[in-house]
Amino acid sequence: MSAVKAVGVRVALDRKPILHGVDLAVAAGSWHAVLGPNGAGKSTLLKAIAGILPHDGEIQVGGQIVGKLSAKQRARLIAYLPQQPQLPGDMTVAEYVRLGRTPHLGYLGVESGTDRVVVDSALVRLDLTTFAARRLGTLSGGERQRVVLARALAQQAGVLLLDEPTTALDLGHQQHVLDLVDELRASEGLTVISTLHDLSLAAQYADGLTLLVAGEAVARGTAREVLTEQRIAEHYGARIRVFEGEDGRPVVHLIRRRRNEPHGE
Amino acid sequence: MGSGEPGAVARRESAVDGPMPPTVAKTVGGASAEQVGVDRSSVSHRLARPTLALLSATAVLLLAVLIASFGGAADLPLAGTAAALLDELPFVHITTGLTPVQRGVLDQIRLPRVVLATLVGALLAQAGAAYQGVFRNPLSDSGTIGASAGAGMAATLVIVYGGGAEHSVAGIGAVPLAAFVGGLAGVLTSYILGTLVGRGGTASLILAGVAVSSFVGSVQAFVMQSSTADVKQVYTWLFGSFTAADWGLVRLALPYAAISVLIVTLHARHLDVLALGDDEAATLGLNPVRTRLIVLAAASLATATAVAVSGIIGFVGLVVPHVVRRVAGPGHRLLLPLSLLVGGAFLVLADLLARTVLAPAELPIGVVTSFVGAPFFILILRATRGRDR
Repeated sequence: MSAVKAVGVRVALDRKPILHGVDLAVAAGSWHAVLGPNGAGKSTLLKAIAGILPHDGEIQVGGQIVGKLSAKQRARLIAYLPQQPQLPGDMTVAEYVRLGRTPHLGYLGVESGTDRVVVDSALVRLDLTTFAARRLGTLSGGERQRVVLARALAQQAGVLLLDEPTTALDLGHQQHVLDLVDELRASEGLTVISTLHDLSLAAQYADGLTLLVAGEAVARGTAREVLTEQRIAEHYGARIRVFEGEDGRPVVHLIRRRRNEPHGE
Repeated sequence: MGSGEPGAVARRESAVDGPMPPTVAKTVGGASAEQVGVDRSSVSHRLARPTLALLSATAVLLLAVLIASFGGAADLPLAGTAAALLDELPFVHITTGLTPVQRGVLDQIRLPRVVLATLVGALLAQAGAAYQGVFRNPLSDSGTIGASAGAGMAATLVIVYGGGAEHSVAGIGAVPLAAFVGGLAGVLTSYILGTLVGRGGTASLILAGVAVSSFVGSVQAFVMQSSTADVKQVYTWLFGSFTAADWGLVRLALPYAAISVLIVTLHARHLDVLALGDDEAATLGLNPVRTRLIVLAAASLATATAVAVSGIIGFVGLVVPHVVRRVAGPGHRLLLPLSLLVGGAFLVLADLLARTVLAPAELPIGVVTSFVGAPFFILILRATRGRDR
């Protein structure tokens, strides 16, 4: 069963077409990675699924058509984390995570006991209880990602959209955040759709991949099916080799240009 | 939920600074009650400080009102003034010991002026907090984004060319109505100009607002001077004053004040969500554009009301929310009501200075608020240096 299904999605920004009819099908509880060179329309696709960009075609989330939902109904189904989330420096971690409850509150924003329990459990789940009173401005990059994930968790939406969740994180923190997302996916039954610029990481974590090039999906399937040397070389314009890594998942490796290669050194 | 394992509880307790309430300490160790007890502890921790802050701010405001009521040109006894203030309350009757003349000074001169200053200070401070939230810009204020100037200009035009205050449209006075429309127009002009010249960033909005304000201010000064030939009156308007305060002005301002305060306060959480940026606000179920317009209209109504009864008073909306934010954090559910109280207290005291420093002459109140506000403005600029993009 597909938790997220997109058929012929077209998006234009400032009258310039960005997506030219993209199809997508993501099984419930799975992790889907959207890949592609810069400017392929990855973030645009995520925003369209999140319902914050007007689009043609149809996007269904949990069997409901995104374009026909109210903002609040949508927010209960889909949580979206942009590439660079805005974290107001003076706000505390607890205050920030509480904002995740917004779609569940009435117009006046009065929180119930349930809302507080959900927020507290999101803090516990991401090991942030000792951070609750910390100001966002004092957090490190890895801590910020945990706080942002806690906010998304408090939103209690079944679908989690992540735009480049590992940007600006070092190797260890990249792994930590992706492992965390994977754990949440498994334990909370979340469906995850993320853009990832690191192809090897995408191969490691995603169950399904879509390769987006110039607003069109040129390949979709498992990592082994999508990440072939020829395809990556063609669409990224890069010299690469694909090796077999852990669990037979592909590892994409950049090859340095050698001077006067034909003649040797 | 973290299934209530002791580790999680211990961690959470250590997160709560200050002594634990005994009831909560007792529940730790129970099964489901434990979780509830812990949750309550974190909630009570959240509530304790806000309640304290609100009570302190209320106390400060009451104190300011008392000081401003007995201080001034005609000496009133402190005890009698305090008693008379209580006597003014409904259902309270106290013998004040004031002479009829003293009571008259208090009731007809001092008190309306103090009440009006409270009202205007509260409106300007809350409007400032609201503008800062709407534009996600710490320098936004009715003075820096064109609202005051627009409201003042429109009100002046109606007074000078439109036959003045006796006109009304659908029961609403022409002056407040014009001030509202002018205030909104001032904000929108600044916003559009700021977007045109520099993508609507922090600096460009403020620069456009300052440009609009100076331009409109000069036109206003010209209009007033050419019609009254009384420079003093022009200055009274441009720097604000409560010399004309009476119960009539209080009654004029009160309904608009109530509406704008109600609307702004009800959107506190919306403003918190807006702080995350439009995309995230929209994916949290908010309509950012609609929210902005509603709060903007309400804040401009507050500004217009303040300008209509007291002229242009700068820096209250800038200084007060920033001081409050330092103490109470950026959450609007506390920031907005606290700004009301502190803003009221600030302007009451500023007005006390304005009418006592050069007594029997009076300083325009804007001179006092700017004297405090301008240096503060520089400090904010310094503190937020580097954040401007």
